[in-house]
Amino acid sequence: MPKDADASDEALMLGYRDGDAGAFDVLYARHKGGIYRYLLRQCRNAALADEMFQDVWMNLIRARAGYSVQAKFSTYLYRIAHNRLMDHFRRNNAGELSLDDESGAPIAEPAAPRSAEPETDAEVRQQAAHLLALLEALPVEQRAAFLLQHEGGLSIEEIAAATGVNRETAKSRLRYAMAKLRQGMQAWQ
Amino acid sequence: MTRDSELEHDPQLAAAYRAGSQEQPPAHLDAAIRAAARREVGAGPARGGTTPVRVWGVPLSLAAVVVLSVTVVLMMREEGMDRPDALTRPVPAGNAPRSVEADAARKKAPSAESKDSVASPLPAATPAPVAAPAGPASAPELKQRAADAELRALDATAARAKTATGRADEEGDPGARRERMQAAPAAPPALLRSAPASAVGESAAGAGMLSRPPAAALADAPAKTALWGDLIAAPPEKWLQRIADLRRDGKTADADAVVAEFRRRFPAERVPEELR
Repeated sequence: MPKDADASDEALMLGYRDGDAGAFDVLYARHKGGIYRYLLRQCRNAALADEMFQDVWMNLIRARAGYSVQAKFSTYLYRIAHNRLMDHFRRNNAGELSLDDESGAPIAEPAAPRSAEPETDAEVRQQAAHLLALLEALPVEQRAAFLLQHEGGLSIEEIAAATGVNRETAKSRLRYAMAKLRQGMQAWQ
Repeated sequence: MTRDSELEHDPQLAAAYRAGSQEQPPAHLDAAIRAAARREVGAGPARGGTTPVRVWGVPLSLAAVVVLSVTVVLMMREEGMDRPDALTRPVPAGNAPRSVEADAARKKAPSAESKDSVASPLPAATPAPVAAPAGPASAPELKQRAADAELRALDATAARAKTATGRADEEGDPGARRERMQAAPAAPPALLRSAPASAVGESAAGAGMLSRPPAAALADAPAKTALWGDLIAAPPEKWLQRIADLRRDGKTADADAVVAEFRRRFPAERVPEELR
């Protein structure tokens, strides 16, 4: 459906609300990968990620009749995913949520991005694996901020809206996350 | 101070992340979610498209009602042929056609049979208990015939209803079954007590009663809905206020029910920790 393929997320969701199942298919194809990886990186368990992934989309499907455009659709969708994830952490591993490591030693200002490119495929894979390991070591909320930016394409304001915090908190979390990842990746730069 | 633009864009980190992030949900999840989305649209009230069922549903229903009404009226008229005014006409002895229904009604009401034989003479081989006068009947006899005809009509209607009920049973019509079950006398309490719980459950399920919610649940549903009925069009804040009120009043079960409904209606909204 070429028309749907060009439509905005919000228009597609409104179309689905009004009964267009094809609009949902386009929306799903656009966001399934990002949502899935967001959940997978956060819970680090494929079976659990599958379960939560299904819950997120089922919640969206069930809420379709009451949908109205009040924010960017991706913010809305990632907020559903984030809520589902937080419910899981609260039920199963409440301690993980308190690891918002913002009170430790001051971190250096993030270095400006460099333009150095890895030279071989193997180097690219190693670099990616290293970054994922660094990401896994981040506190949940900082990891969430990074993932929402890179998987959902959300801005700082949208990350704040999706995670239910104010802009400064979201910015601080993202800043810490980026600083730690950049520091960890310095060997590759 | 770090500028937002530096936070929002780091091509090297982004490229490294992209290189290692290609995971996709399993295909069976894709299929399940898409199917659920289509089902929801098919069952939901917000459907925009038209289907033959939607287009023809109402006209067909109306036509069915008209046909049924006409049938019932015709049947009533037919029944009216046996009524007193029809019986007052003299019937030639030995020539009157006897309907199967009338025969069946007569068999069911043997006490009426002897009197009825006055109007409907039996074949010559059958001994008549009362001599059949050929002339017009007297006033008391006419009265008795009218009463007999009324009885026959009632019997015939009951027989048709019984046949229809049997058909509805065969077709698994839950409405007809439900009506009959309501009309049927309740099982003796002693029997219910002596039957094991599992057996009672199995028999209920076997009789197609799974579709009927338990009486307790039926009674409970309106009570739960009453907790949030006035909030259906309200914003999330009102819901949270209701939950807070219920928690404050110590109505934990009610608060949990409202929380569950709130989550269903507003999946993107958070329930504050103290209200959970």
